[in-house]
Amino acid sequence: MMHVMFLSFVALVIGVIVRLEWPSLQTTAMKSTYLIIVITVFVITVTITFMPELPGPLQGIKALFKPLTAAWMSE
Amino acid sequence: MERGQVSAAQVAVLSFTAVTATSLLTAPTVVSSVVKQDVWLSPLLALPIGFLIVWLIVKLNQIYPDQTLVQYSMKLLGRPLGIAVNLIYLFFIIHTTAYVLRQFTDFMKLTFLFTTPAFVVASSMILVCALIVRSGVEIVVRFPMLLLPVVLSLILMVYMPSIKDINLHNFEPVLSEGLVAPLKGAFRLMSWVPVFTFMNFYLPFVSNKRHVLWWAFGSVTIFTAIVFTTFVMVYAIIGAATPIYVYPFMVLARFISLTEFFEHLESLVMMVWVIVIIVRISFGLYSASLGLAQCLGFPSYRPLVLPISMIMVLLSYWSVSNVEFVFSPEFIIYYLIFGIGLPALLLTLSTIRQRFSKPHNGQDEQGEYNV
Repeated sequence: MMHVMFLSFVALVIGVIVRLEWPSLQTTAMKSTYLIIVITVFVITVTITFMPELPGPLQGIKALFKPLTAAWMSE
Repeated sequence: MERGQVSAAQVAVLSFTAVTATSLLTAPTVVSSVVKQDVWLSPLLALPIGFLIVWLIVKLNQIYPDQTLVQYSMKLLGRPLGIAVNLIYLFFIIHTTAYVLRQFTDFMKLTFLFTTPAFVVASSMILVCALIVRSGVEIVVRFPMLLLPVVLSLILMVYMPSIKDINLHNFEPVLSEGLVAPLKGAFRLMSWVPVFTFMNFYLPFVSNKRHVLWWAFGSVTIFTAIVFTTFVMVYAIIGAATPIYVYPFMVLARFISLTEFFEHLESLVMMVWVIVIIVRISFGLYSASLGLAQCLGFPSYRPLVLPISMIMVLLSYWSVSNVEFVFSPEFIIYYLIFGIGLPALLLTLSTIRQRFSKPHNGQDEQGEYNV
């Protein structure tokens, strides 16, 4: 229930932001980029609300740069 | 897109305030855990790296005076590769700024706002920063200059009463393990120093670029001086117990008792922290918004500020149990690649291109000033 309330609040905030910002988006490219970003953010928010252990960019960074580290760096 | 005009001094103040922001509270613990009593030497050893970073950024700005890194990287790498590299670089800016937001949220929840939801703390901070960034580059750059006297006086109000408790014997034996430990500590400071690279988004708006390099060097020097002083004060008073505390600067503030009137000065630490974190997040948010707008060819960066703010709040919580990873070796390598590696690569490509390209109308591509 708390999750649903939280996500409803997030959706409301995103909706208000999009509604206020929409007239200033002059081109189709700007509108589509804007929508892609906010929809992606909302989808990820919903996903990590119900699946908090979902790996994120942090795990990717650590896996990517782990081979470049030396033992003395971890002291 | 952006027509603001700022001065080199204002950009320098913005840069060192932003970079110093998180270092005051957490750097003493991170560095002293490796270096112990030689912690005072690590900022001095990190200073040349800071100079190198700002020299690279200013040198690139000299060659491309009215362009940011995003714009000249597309010119140097070609459009497809340039856009790909720029998106990764912008993700780096957003990612690292999001973790600063997380550090702020954790600090607030651990020390003051115990029952306030973390989402409320993070959203409030990012909203303030978004309003500053949407107001334009002049507001972003002049805001830290306006509050610099307040920040410095608050920091001095923590340092000055602590002088009587200094014990210089805490620094003995000096260099017992040679320079190896301080160098490792300087490596740990690379969690902060590469943030100077964000300066490239502000240099195109500097009106008089004649002394911009000296102001940039001054910015790094002042950052080093503040960190050095903090390390000395913290270790001279707290000593070998410094690595135990998550926020030793906060412990210092709580430790102060002067004539039983000046006590429990942790509220001053919170004031300083809130102000400098606003500067730091605005520094990164403006860079990311402007960079993304330039990368995608948008006429204005302002519509992108709030979506990027949402991304920052999201990234600050996505699979992050605590912020100690920020000081991990993988993250330091991440910082160094984009803080030094990318500008060095672009400068190398630009130099090669200048040597092999024919001058246009008998003029070379040098800007108005020489570095």
